[in-house]
Amino acid sequence: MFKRIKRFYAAANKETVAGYLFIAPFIIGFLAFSAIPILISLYLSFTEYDILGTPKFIGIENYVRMFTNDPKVWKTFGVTFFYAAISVPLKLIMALAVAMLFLKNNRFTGFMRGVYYLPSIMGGSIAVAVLWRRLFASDGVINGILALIGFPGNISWLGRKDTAIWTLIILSVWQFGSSMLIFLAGLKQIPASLYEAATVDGGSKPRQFFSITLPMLTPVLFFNLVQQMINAFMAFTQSFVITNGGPRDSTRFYSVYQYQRAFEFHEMGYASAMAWFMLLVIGILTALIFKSSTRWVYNESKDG
Amino acid sequence: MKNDVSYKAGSKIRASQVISIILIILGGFTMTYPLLWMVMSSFKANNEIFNNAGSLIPKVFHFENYINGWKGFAKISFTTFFTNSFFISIVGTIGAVFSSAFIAFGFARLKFKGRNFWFICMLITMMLPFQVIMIPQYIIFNKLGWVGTFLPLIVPSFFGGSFFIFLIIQFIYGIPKDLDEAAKIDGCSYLDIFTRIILPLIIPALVTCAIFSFMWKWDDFMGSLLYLNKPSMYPVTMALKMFSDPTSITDWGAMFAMATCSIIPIFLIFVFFQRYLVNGISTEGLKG
Amino acid sequence: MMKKIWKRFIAFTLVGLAIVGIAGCGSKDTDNGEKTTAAEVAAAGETTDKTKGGETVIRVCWWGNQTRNDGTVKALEMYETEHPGIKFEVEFSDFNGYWDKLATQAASGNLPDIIQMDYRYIKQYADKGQIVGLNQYINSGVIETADVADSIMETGVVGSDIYGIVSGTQAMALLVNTDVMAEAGVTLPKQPTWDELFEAGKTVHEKTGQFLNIPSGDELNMLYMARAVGQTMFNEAGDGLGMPDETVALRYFTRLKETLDGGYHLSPEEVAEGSNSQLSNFAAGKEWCNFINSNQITNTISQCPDGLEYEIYMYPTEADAIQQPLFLKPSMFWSISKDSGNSEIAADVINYLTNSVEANKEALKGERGVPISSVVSKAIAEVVDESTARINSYVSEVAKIANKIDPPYPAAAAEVAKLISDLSDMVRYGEITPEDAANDFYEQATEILQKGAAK
Repeated sequence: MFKRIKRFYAAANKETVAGYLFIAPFIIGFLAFSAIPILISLYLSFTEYDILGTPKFIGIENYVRMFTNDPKVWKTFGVTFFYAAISVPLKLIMALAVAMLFLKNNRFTGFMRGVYYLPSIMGGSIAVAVLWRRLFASDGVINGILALIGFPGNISWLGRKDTAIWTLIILSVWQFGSSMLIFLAGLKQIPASLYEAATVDGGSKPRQFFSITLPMLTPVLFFNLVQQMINAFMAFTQSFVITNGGPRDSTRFYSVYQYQRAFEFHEMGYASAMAWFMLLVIGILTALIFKSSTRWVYNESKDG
Repeated sequence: MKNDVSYKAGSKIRASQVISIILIILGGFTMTYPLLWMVMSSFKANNEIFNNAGSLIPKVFHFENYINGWKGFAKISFTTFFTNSFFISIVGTIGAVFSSAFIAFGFARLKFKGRNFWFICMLITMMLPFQVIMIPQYIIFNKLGWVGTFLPLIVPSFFGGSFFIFLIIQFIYGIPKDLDEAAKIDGCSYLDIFTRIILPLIIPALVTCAIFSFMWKWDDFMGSLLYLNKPSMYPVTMALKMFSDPTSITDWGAMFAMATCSIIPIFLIFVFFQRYLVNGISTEGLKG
Repeated sequence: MMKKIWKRFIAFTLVGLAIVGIAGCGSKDTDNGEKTTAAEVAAAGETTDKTKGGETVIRVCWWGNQTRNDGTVKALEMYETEHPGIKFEVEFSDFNGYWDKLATQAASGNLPDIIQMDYRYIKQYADKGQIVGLNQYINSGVIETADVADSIMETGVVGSDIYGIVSGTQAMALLVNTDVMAEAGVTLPKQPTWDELFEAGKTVHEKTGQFLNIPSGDELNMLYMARAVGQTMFNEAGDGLGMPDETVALRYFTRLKETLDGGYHLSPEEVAEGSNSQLSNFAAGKEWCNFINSNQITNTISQCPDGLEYEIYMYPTEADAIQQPLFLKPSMFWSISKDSGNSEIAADVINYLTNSVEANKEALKGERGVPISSVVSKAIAEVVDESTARINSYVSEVAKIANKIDPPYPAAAAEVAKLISDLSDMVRYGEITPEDAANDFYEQATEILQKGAAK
C-alpha cells in the first residue's frame, strides 16, 4: 500500500491532490457551517414558516407571490439597484483617486491615509446613525453650511422622498476607506521599474496612469468592483438604523424589506424566497463581470 | 531627475502644491467632521447634544461621561467588554488571514478537477445574506453545544473567509508564475512554494485582510447577539447597543464616550499596520 | 488514475458530511418539527445546565438598558440570597435584537426559563406553544395575585389561560408643554376630545408657531379612535377587523389631511425626519404636545431643556364617544418558556418580582411601569423620582376610568400596523385621498388578517 501511495504521489496528478489539500479547510468549513444552512434556506423558500411553528411545504407559492402580488419587492429592488449603481462607481473613483494621492511614503501621507480611512472604521454603528441624522436634519449642520454659501438652508434631506436616498449614498461614498486600502495595496505591487522605464521614454504622468497604473490595477479593480457591488446589493444596516426605509420606502433596501417579512411579519419562508432571488441576481451580475474580466483584467500568472 | 527642473518651474510647483495640501486638509476635515462631532458630543451633557447640534465645542466638558460609560451595567464594566472584543477579533483574525491565504493559494495556483465548483461555492457564501442562514446555522451550533461560548464566532474563521480568499487570489494572480516554476525545478514542494515564495510577496494583501478581519469582527453585532448569552461575554458592540434602547432612558453622552473609545483600537491597528501595506515588496528584482 | 482521484474526492466529501452529520442530525427533525423532539432536546440541554455543581440554574432574559439591567440583576441577586441553591444566568439585549434572538432560540428549542414578553407577541408565542399557561401556578398559590386588580391579570389572557404576568402597567397619555400652552393662552380639559385638541392646536400655532403631530407609525391611534365608539381594531378570533365599516378609518385618515391643510400639523418631511430621530420633536421644541406611552415620559423629559413645565393630559376621546377609549396597557409580561425544566421555580421567581416589597423598593423601583400589586406600588412611591411619581399618579387616575383592553393581537397585526403606516404616509404626501385610503385599508387589512388566521 505504501508503494501505491508513493506512486500516486509521484504521478502527474500530484497537483490535484495538492489542490484539494490546500482548499481542504475551506471544504470542511463550508460543509460543516454553510452547506446545510444554505440547503435549508433553499428548502424554506418553498415553505410557509413562521419560526415559532413548523415549516409547511407550499411549493412555488412564495415565488409566485413575489412576482405577481408584491409591489414592494420591486420597489425595494429598484431602490437597492439605484443605490448600488450610483454609490459603487463613486466610491471606487474616490478610493482610487485618494489612494493615488497618498501613494508616496511620508509622515504626512501616512497620517492623511488614516484620516481618510477613519469613516469606514465607524461602520454602521448606532453612533453613525445618530450622527448622520443630526447632520442632515432640517436644522442640522449640512443645512447650516449650505446657508452660509447662500443656498436655502432648510432642506429636509431625510424627510423628502427624493433626497433621503442620497444621504445613504453619501454615507456609503464617505466610507470609501476600505476600497482605498485595497487600491493602495495593489498600487504598491506595481513594479517601480515600469514607471522608471516610462519616464525615460518620455511618457507624461496622465499617460503613465492610463497605460501602466490602470492596466496593472485591473485585478484589484475587478476585486473591488465585485466586492462593492455585492455589498451594495446586500446593504442593510444603514437603511435600517438611519432612515428605517425612509419616507415612503424611498430608502428601503431589499434586505430590509426581507428582514421585515422574516422577523416582523414572521414569514421566514417568503423571506428565504426573496433572498434566493437576490442571490440569483447578484450571481448573474457577478458571473457577467467574471466573464468580461478575461477581456480587461490583467493576469500575470494566467497562461495564454 | 527632479533636480533638472528649473527654479522658476520649481516655485510654480510649490504654489500648486500648497493649494492641494490645503484642499487635502479641508477634505480630511470634511471626512472626519462627523467623527469630531461624535467625540465632542461625548463631552456634552445629554440635553445639550441634540439641542445644540450646530456648535461643536461643548459648553462644559463633562468628562464624567467617560467614567459613567465605562462602568457599563449589571456590574460589568467596559474593561470586560473590551477584553472580549479583543479576544474575538484577534483570534478570529489570525485564523482568518492564515487559513484564507492557504486556501487562496490552492485556488490560484493549482489546477484540479472540481476547482471551479468549489470556487463557485465560495462565491455563494459571499453572496448569501446572513439573516437567511441565521436560523439553520444557529440550530447547527446549538446541536454542537457551542451556543453560549465564543466558538461560533471564531471557529468558522479558521476555515477561511470568502472575501479574504477572493482578495488574496487576485493578488497571487499578480505574481509571475516563473518563480513557482523555478522553485519546482529546484525540488520544492507546493507547501514550500506557498510559504517561501508566495507568502512573502502577498504581505500587503495579508495586512489588508488582517485589518479588515479585525475591523469586521470588532463591529460584529448579529453573531454576538445570537450566540453570546452571558452579558459578561458581550463585546463592545453589544454593550453600545444596550445604551440606546428606545424604550428607556438613554445616556447619550456615555454612549458616545464609549463609541469613541471603541474606535481607538481599530484606528491604532490601521496606523501601525499600514507600514507593511506601504512597504510592499516589489517583484521587480525577482524577475531578473 | 481517475478512480484514485475520485476516491480522494469522495473521501473528503464523506469526512465533511460526517462532520455535518454529527452536527446536523436532528436539526432536520426539528424542522419537520415534532415539538416533542425539540422539547426533548431542550430538556437534555437543560439537564446539563440544571445541575451545575448541585445548583439549579434559571435563565432569565429581558430587553432594556442600564437602569433596568442593574435593577433586575439586583432583584435577582436578592432572590438568590434568600434561596441558596438557585443561580441565575441572565441574558439581556436591546429591544429589536431581543425578538430576533428569541425567535431563533424558540426555533431551536433553546428558550430561557423566564422571558420578558410583550403584548404584541404574547398571542403568537402562546398559540405556538412556546410559553406555558400560568393558571396552574396561580391556582396553586405559587403566584399570589391577591393585591392585583383582575382587569390587569386579564390582560395576560390568551384563549383560556393566562400566559404572562404583567410586570408594570402604563397608559397612553398626552404630554403637553404647559409653557407653550400658557403663551398661546389656551386651556384643555383633563381629557380633551379630538376636536377640542385641534381647536387648541390652531390657536397654539397662530400664537407660537408650534405644531401638532398625530402619530401614524402603527395602529395605536386608529385603535383608540375605534374604542371610543365601541369598536375594536382586531376581532376576537383574530381573523378580521373589529370594525364593521370604514367610518373610524375614514375619520383617522381625514384628520391627518385636515390638520395638515389647516397648517397646524408638522409637515410630512418633518414627521419622517422626526420619526427616527433620537431627539423627540417635543424636546426639540417643534411640537407642543406629544402622544406618548406613560413609560416613556421620563425619557422624553430628560431630553428637554431644564425647567420645561409639562403636564400629563389624558389621551383624547371623541365628541360622540360611547365609552372611554383609554385602557391600562401592560408594559411587558413575565412568561415561562416551554423549554424550562424548572417551571415551578420560575413561577416562584416571578411571584417574588411581582410581590416582594423589598425587591421593588430597592432594585426594580417601578422602572417597567407601575407595579401591579397595589401593596408594592404604594411602597415604592417613597423612592421614585419626580417624573416617575407624576407618571404613577397619572396611571392610577386612568386606572379609575379605564376600560377593558382589546383582545390580544393576532400574528398578522404587525402587517396591519405597517399598512396603516404606509397609507398614512401616502395621505400625508398627498398621493392618495383619505377616502381611498380608508377603503384600501379596510380591504387589505381584512385580507391580511384572513390569510394570517388561515396559517
